[in-house]
Amino acid sequence: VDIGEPLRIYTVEPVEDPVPRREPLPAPQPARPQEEPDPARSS
Amino acid sequence: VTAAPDYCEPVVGWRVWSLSVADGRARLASHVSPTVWPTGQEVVAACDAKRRELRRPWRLHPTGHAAPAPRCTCGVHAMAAVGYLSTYLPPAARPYSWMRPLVHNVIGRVALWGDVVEGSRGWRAACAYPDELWLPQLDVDRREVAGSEAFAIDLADYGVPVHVCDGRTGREVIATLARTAPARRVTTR
Repeated sequence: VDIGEPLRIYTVEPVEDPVPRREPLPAPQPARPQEEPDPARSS
Repeated sequence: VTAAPDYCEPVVGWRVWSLSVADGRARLASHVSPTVWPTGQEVVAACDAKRRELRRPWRLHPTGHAAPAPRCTCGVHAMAAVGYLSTYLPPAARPYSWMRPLVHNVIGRVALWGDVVEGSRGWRAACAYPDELWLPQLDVDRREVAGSEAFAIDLADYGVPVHVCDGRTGREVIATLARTAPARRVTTR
C-alpha cells in the first residue's frame, strides 16, 4: 500500500478511546452450598 | 515530562481487508501480513522489515525501530480517499493466500492514532481499529458470496457499524462510497 511521499510525522492521542471495548464480564459467584434439610424441622 | 500530542482526535482513513476465518468466526485480516485484527482491541504495528549488514549483506537483522518509522514502510496503512483502494483489490478471486484461506474482501474506514506518518495519499500509524465496515455481497467474478449475512454478524463483534452491500462487488462499493463520502484531505499546517 503506497501512502505516497512522506510529508510529516505527528502524534495523535485520542481523548475518547476509539476501541469499543467490551465490558468485563462479572466475576462468577461461588456456587452456594445446598442447604441440607434440618432434621428438626422436617418432622 | 512527556511531549504534548499534536492531535486529540484519531485520523480516519480507508482500508481494504481480507475476510478470514479464525476460530470459526469471520475476522478482518491484512492483505500483506499475517495479522488478524482482534475484536475489542487495537492493532499495534511492529516493524517486520529487515536490514542488511553493511559488510555482510547476506545477513539480515530486524530494524529494531518502533513503527511507523519515517524512512520505512512499517505501520498500519490507510488511504486518504476511498477511491485509492480499488488499486488494492485483487483482479480475480483468490481462495487462498500463502498464509490462510481467504473468504472475501471488506472495505472500511479505520481510526489511526499514536505516532502517524502522513503521506501525500494516506497514513502509516502505530495503532488502529476499524471504524465502519462495508461487506460486498458479490466477489470479483460477480458471484454471490455464500454466507455474507453470517460474516456480517461475525464482524459485528468489532462493535462498529457493518453494512452488507447487496448486489455489489468490492469495486462497485468503492465507487459508490467515493461518490458519497467526501475525501478527507491530508492535513496541512
